[in-house]
Amino acid sequence: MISRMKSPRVCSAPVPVTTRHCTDEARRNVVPPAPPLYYRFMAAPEGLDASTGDVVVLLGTTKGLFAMSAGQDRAHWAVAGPWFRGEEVYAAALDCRHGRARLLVGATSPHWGPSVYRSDDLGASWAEPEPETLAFPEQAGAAVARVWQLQPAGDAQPDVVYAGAEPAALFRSDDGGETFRLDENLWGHEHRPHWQPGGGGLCLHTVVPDPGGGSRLGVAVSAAGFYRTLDGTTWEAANSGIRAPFLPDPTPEFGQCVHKVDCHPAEPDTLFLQHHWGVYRSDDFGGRWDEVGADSLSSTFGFPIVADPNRPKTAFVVPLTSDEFRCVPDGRVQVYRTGDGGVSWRGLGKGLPQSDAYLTVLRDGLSADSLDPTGLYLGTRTGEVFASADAGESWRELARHLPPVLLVKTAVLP
Amino acid sequence: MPAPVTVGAVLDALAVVHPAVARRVRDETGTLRRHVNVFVGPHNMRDLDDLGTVVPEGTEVAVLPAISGG
Repeated sequence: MISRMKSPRVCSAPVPVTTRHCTDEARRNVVPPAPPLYYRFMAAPEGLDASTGDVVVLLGTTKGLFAMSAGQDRAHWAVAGPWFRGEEVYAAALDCRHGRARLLVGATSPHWGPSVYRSDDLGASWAEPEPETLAFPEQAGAAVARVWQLQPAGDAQPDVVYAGAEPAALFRSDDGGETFRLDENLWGHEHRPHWQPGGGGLCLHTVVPDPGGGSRLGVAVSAAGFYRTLDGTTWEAANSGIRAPFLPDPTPEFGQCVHKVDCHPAEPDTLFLQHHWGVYRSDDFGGRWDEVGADSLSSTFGFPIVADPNRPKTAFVVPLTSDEFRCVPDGRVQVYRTGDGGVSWRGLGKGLPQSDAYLTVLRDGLSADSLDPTGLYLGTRTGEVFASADAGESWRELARHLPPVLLVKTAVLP
Repeated sequence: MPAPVTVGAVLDALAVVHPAVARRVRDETGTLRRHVNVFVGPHNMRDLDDLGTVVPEGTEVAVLPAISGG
């Protein structure tokens, strides 16, 4: 049980709809954005105002970690932060397995480098274990440049936490994120000398644990592709069917630039994948990929892909215009949803900016909560946060003027 | 520490007493972090002999964040 801290939740003030570049016709058709909720910033180190059953949204930014919380009505939000002021927060998780509420953060100081921190009191205090939290062993001859992902395993492995790092390394913790060790088998993979970095670096940015607690595990590396182990020891490239138009051989064994992978725990063999051009689905945990949705998506380029925690056939993407421009198509922010496993997609934009919007959403910039209807949370590189409480049918702006959002992670406090 | 004391030896000693500080100065490979400067008196060690720079007795060693790190 987590005590609710005594503080006012929110107040709001109306904001006029922007009329710049709007004709009378356009003005009549514009759905006025909900007024931005004024939120009371709770300066760290008070911690996040949240209690059992609340929805918590972690926001990793280029200048620290913010967090938002609300009751299950998702109507009024409190914001706390920033923690780790001035540091990039690419990785964060709220580990709620077995009744705990442990915050895990991977932060990188521009001066002092990366580290992993944990808090068991919603950010009121933080610990950084000694002697080291997450680091290469001496014999590896490498140094962690950035922690890209912190991924708790399924409920069947309540103390296992995976960390993806740069340069393309997987670490595993068996004590809830207090200590980590390098996965030497992936580190020593024969393909490694041939891996090329993506635009953000050679990053292991996604970890897909087996929800059932088995030894099966998948990781995504930009730009090496999707790799998996079925026995927990031997790693293999698993990119069959993913086209890489930026390479001479468009269907290589590896070298794909996988942006994100997600799955639904009820259908663990089915994976959704957003590639650097192309959305794919696999029904055998990466053994074979098929492109989906090319006819119904506004663009097949994008970064995040999120499976609906409540519906195995439902997933969400945010199409962007090309790998050069990387902003939403036609100045309209639309989240696309499939309800049939990716065969068809529908654009949803009610309440999102539909004109003159040049937003970018990064690979971890979209997240879903486990409430029903599913809540969605979208963070942009221009510092806005949008939320939907109805699986994307309608949206409203929760925050603006934040530093560029790198990460959105959601959890319901036990 | 036995003479001559180098910057590297100073940082090694720091790692024993304050490991959390030491790993913020050097990464796992022992390389000085890119946006960290170490001064031996008024001299940046990068202008001298890097981690092999000798620290004269009584000289202050300062670890400072570089302006290049923002």
